[in-house]
Amino acid sequence: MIWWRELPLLVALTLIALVLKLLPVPLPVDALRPHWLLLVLTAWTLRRETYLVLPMAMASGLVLDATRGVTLGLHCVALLVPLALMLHWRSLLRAIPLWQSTLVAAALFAVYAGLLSLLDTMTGEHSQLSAHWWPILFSVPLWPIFVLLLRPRPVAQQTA
Amino acid sequence: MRRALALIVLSIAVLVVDLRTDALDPLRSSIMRAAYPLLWVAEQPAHTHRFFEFLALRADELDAYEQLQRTHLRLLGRVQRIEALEAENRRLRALLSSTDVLEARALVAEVLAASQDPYQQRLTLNRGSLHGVYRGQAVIDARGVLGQIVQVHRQTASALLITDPDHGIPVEVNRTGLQTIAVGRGDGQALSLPYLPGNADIQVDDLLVSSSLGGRFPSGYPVARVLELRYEPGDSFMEAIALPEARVNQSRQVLLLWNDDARPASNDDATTNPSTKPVNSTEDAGAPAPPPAENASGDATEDGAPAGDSP
Repeated sequence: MIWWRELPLLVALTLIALVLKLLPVPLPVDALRPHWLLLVLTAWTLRRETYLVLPMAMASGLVLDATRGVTLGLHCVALLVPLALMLHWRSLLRAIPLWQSTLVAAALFAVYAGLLSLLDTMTGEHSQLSAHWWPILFSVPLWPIFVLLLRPRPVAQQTA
Repeated sequence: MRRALALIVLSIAVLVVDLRTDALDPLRSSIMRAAYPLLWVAEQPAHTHRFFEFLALRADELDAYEQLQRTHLRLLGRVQRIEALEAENRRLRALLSSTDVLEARALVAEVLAASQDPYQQRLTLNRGSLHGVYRGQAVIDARGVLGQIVQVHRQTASALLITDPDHGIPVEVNRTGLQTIAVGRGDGQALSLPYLPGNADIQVDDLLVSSSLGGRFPSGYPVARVLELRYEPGDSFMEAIALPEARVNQSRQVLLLWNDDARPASNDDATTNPSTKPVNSTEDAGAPAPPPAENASGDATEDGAPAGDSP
């Protein structure tokens, strides 16, 4: 159980992702902004200790809901479903080449965007649905970079 | 996987509860309180952007500052005049407020006949004692004071115009507040202000408004505008010629005003000739009396006495 060792890094990354999400930008630029939170959490799930990813996703989802002013739990569901799928296929995804896992990640981003659109419609939020879909284009190229950056140190160094 | 499912179910439960009820509002507000540092951090780049914008705009700001300084100086100069205007405004307001009160009691009268005799400048109006008209009542038109009632009959009344040589009206120079008497010149057009001290502060184009000195006219109504000033060196008094503001002999309809401040028309008053009122005012103002009237006094005496009791 080394999850507590990685906790500060996970919290820091999540907070940075939240700030990047909350950063006020002009509306046209907003659509180009990657889904930072899902990007960080999925890359983390693939390469790092997964014990705290889901609670972290839940907490940051609540923060997003509260700050965006939508129904609480909306972003939680949208974040938890792709992450659960990621956890389910984690061993498989770690085995296949990075470009293939990137395609799977793209599908997970689509799930996220689809869930956001669906839940926005169901809860009666008036949101621009394209604002959920366009960021996928800019999230997917970043995903392998994040995975490479989050590559754990070799075990020899960890034990040292 | 079970944890994931449990969390998803929990999230959906939160979603449904928050959608249906207000029970999660405390949770929302505490999340917002916890997220405030994040929001604060996220706001900072926007502020930085504004700071750089400010630096870039500094030259413009300096220009704007200089312009404001110039405007400030100009306004300071104007403020110095404001105090004088304020005093005038207070006086005008006082005049206006008394006007307002009086406007509540007014009666429209039709001009039945107008006499063009230079020494008998009168109007006959279609209102009389039946309507509460009283002797000495002020008559105005849309622009200013026209004259006063000198004879009251049952259905009609006779008004003496301010341009009649027998008529005198206490006036006030609106610009300075100087009180004086304006008497008719008898030419049907102009008024004369014969009792001005040689050093009186009066200018051409000054507006003369009615004064309540003498207690007959309501104060504050425009009477005339100074046309010219005549002052022979060595004379005791300066004379001013003024043109009436009211359109004398051009009005089909006039307004009769009730002056609540006026002394009730007593028999004493009623039996005197109309020009005695200016005489009284003159004494109030400390100026010599105008020449006594010679005509129209008989009629006024006979008809005015019963009218004085009627209101």
